Amino acid sequence: MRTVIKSSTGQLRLNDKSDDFYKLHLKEGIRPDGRMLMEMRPMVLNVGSISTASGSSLVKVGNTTVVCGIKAELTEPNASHPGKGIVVPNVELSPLCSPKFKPGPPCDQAQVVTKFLDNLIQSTNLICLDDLCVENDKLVWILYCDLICIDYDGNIVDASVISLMAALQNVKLPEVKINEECESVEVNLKCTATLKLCSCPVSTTFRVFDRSNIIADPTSMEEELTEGQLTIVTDQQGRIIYMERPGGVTLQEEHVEKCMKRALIRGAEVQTLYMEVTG
Amino acid sequence: MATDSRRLAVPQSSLDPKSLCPAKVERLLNDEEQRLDGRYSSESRGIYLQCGTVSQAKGSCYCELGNTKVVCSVYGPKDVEHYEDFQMEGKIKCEFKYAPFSCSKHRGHIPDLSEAEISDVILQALTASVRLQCYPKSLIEVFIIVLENDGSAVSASITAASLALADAGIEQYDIVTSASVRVYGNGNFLEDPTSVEEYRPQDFDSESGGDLNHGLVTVALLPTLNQVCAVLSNGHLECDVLVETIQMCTSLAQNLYTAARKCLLSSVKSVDQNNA
Repeated sequence: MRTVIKSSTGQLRLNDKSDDFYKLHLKEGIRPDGRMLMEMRPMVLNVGSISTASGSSLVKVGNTTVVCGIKAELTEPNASHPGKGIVVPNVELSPLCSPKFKPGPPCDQAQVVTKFLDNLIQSTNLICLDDLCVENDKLVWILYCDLICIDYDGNIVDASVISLMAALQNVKLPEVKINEECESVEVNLKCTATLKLCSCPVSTTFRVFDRSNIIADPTSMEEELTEGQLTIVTDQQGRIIYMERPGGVTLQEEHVEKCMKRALIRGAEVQTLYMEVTG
Repeated sequence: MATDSRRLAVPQSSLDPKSLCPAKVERLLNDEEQRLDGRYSSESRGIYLQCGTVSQAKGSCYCELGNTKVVCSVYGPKDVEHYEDFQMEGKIKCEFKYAPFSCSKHRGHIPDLSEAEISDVILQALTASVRLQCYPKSLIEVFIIVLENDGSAVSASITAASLALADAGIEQYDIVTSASVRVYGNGNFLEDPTSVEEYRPQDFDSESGGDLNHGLVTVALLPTLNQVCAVLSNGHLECDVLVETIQMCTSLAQNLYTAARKCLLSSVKSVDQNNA
């Protein structure tokens, strides 16, 4: 029997008895929004709509909407890596996108997703940082990758990865040279080059309901009902390049294998979407 | 930039490459009286408004004014957090933010003073319209984010905020519409300026001895009641020039009313079709 209570935010929330409601659906192998357990929501991708950003993209995974804008600026490199550019991702989960988030500094979830993107960029060597160097030890490019969530309906991780990748593929950097004689920086806005990306990752997120049911692409309501998350990242060659399993409920080996197979299929679908959109 | 321990570390400062090769705009109007984007001085950009874009919010609105893109979402009425704040009139909170990639230079994540000022202006404009006495002991929250700033971001935000409130079912005396006009020199007005055409104090250091009238005026209006609910004016303008500019902004904001009504009607119709 489902009971619905009104929380202090005025939103309707399912309380603990909603587990039974969800279990009734899972018995038939279906979820409340009509999807099968491993079915993903439809996706919409649009690139290059923000002219003030060097590269931008908008992704909708079901209702979850993420806008990624990349600003490329010039700065001095870190003392520890004088010949490498800098990439700084940042995910904003503001109160605008959902009543779950409070105003103020980034919540835990935003920090976790930001760090996930940062780890992904570094471990998969996504962008060749040496290419972002203009002059060793003097001037490098810094890419501020800001992902703003406009509408939060679960699965922010997948939406963020897709929008970050699409925006990076859309980035155009002007040609920058240092004039040795007058020690000034010359920028040629007309001559632009795209970024060379060493990899094209796609992530797929799964959550565990009641220790035995795995669902893919959770909505916001499903995230509250489930425990344990598994994110698998695949690349354009059909390999698994990154996996994150931030603790929680235990998973059976066959479940993990099922997830990996599903992630590979999903990866291939999204790669074709990237190709179509970015050309 | 203040270091933020909850975000990844960034260097203290970085240069926007466009600032290194500035394309100085000598004239805002060319010989054929056309502006940089081909419009005439008394021509506004087309506006696109759509309600119901944020599924999680009680009410929301997306506004595009030329290239300027604004998203607004409204939550409430909900209980105030501390019961000491119980009042017989409702409270509105407004938060305005530029996205870091929305302007020509990368903006920080922590709202700065200019954003706080704009939040206050928008709050004043909305407070004039919302029937707060219908929502005792309640809080209505309005969040606005500018995805791309190509001029008139404040006026687009005010219009979007009012439509989002209407979409949320919050009672208002009237929809608030808003418009901006740039003044440069004597008797020269540009309606609905782009970001290049907007007033910047640093451009006029050497010319302050010359013509006095340079500035930007934004007016928020209640169209059916024909009442002005907020005026924001930047720059130095003589009194009669200011009055003339406010009248111009008022008539522009009046023209927006049809578009705003159409947006609300179509959003109600689409909800009706979805339910049917």
